Amino acid sequence: MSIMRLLLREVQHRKLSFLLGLLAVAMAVALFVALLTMGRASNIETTRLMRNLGFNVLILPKETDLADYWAADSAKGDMPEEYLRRLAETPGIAADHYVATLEKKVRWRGRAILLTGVLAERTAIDARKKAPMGYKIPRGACYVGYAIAHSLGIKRKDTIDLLGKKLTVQRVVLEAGSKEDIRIYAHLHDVQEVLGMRGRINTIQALQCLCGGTMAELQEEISGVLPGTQIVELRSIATARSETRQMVEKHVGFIVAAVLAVCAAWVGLLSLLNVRERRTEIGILRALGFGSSHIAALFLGRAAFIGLLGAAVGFAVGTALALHVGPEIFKLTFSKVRPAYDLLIPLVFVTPLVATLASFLPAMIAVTQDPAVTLTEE
Amino acid sequence: MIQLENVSQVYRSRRGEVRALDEVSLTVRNSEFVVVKGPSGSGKSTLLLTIAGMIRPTRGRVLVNDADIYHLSNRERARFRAQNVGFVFQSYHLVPYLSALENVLLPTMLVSPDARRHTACQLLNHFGIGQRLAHKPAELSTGERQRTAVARALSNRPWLLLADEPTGNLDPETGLQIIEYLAEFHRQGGTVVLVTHERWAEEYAERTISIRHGRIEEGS
Ligand SMILES: Nc1ncnc2c1ncn2[C@@H]1O[C@H](COP(=O)(O)OP(=O)(O)O)[C@@H](O)[C@H]1O
Ligand SMILES: [Mg+2]
Repeated sequence: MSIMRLLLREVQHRKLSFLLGLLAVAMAVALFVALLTMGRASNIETTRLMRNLGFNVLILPKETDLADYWAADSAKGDMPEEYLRRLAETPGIAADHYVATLEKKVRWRGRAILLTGVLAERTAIDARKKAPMGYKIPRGACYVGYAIAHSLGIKRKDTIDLLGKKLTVQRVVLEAGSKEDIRIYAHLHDVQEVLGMRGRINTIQALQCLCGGTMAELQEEISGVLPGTQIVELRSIATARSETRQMVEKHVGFIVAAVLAVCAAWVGLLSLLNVRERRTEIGILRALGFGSSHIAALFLGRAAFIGLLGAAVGFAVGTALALHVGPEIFKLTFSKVRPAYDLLIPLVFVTPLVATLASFLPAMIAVTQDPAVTLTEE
Repeated sequence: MIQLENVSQVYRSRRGEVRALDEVSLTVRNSEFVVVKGPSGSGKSTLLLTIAGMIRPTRGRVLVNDADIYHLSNRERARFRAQNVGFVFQSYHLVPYLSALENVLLPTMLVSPDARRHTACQLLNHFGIGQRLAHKPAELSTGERQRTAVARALSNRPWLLLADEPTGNLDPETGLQIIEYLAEFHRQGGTVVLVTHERWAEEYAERTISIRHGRIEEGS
């Protein structure tokens, strides 16, 4: 016989009470684990979406009139290409990628096209991350917009003469139903040559990374490095989504806290009922020579056991939920939902602790209970 | 030796005060068999619990072998009980979720970490529960329950046995059997304080004490 064994026997005996406690703890843990697991998956997805959907900061020369910029197809004013390198090499700016562009509306083969030179640069923040798709165009190559390609009969692997420069068509861009369709993308340096604007660019687009910091901070950082520029925030679907996510995260915190409080109260209440139900038993144990520490260990140990088992069950259920329901509800890519194994160890320690704390008062009631009350009741 | 010196025990509750023991002085010699009798509510159970160190007297002292047990710390007093006192109750008070054997082993975990399984089995065999070791109290007859309770009270080899109306719920034959076990413990040198209403049980005792309204009316 040991306290542990005594505890287990009691749990076996009063299965319902034990299961109710277990249920509460497992539910709270499962909710927490599921939300967190899906939250992480959604984070990964948002990052990916942002990379695909575009850039959320636009850096322009001071003299560029924003009204003109949006109205016309290309901007007036330019700045040194060297700015791109300078930005990328400055540590501490919360952006992943920069793309420098030089864009001009030109006439080619009798029609107006947008000629866009692009050059992507990674930052030091995460050199492993790949540059956004579609912006790695090698020298001598170009991407041709759908409308131009269609009307001029340009196909992949054709060689075109672009204002005196021979470029190979690497890709005909899928129909976008936007300005993209009359655009020809080429390497920045090729476009600079064609336009006679060596070493000049007119925009840098930056992708704000999700590594913290606000937009305002990012703007301040950039203008510190690049004098004579203006910084414009582009609100894309991705940024909107990221804001939604932050908002949801705030509420999730509240929901989890509320559920935790309710479950803790529930566990405490069940412990109290358990103590009341076992009043006589406590008296007997006292009469047999059990001390206060034994009685406390019996009830606190029971709560800790519920917490431990609840953490394990809750983790399993929460993870299963995230894996099976998450992709459907939150439109997540299944492969992005990964079990949060790193939570397991903290949960295994914290949950029993919380359950024990929730049962502390009932346990103290058990300890201080006067054995005379139950043992003279015959 | 157990000495109660002017012990008063007053229960305070919302409904007022109850003087369960009123200036009780009493000596029980080692290896003595004492029967305590008295009407319901006269303070018999309170007397036993006070001797066992379970409720601190409102006034007076309880000396066991010349040491005031209420001067011990709570932990020491619990240990004193585990090592020296065996308790038997009218309603058996077995732990419902433990088997007969586990109930008997229960007190031993407090004194010997290596549970005296063998001794416990022997005790239960002796009391005729050998075939019921794994049964839960609910699966035992009332007689078997009380015999298990006696085995549990003796499992730590105490020198003092306190029995609070142990035959109250039993048929006369089974009751007699239980008292026989107490007498046997006494013959082997144990001290017994038995609370009972059974007249015949007094024949086993060396002394009978009557309590009324928390006061001792000397009988023998
Ligand atoms: N915990 C308690 N609180 C208040 N009064 C009590 C308590 N226990 C016993 N009493 C009262 O003390 C008196 C003696 O009780 P008890 O010792 O159980 O008597 P007996 O065992 O002789 O029937 C009774 O009047 C009883 O109602
Ligand atoms: Mg009584």
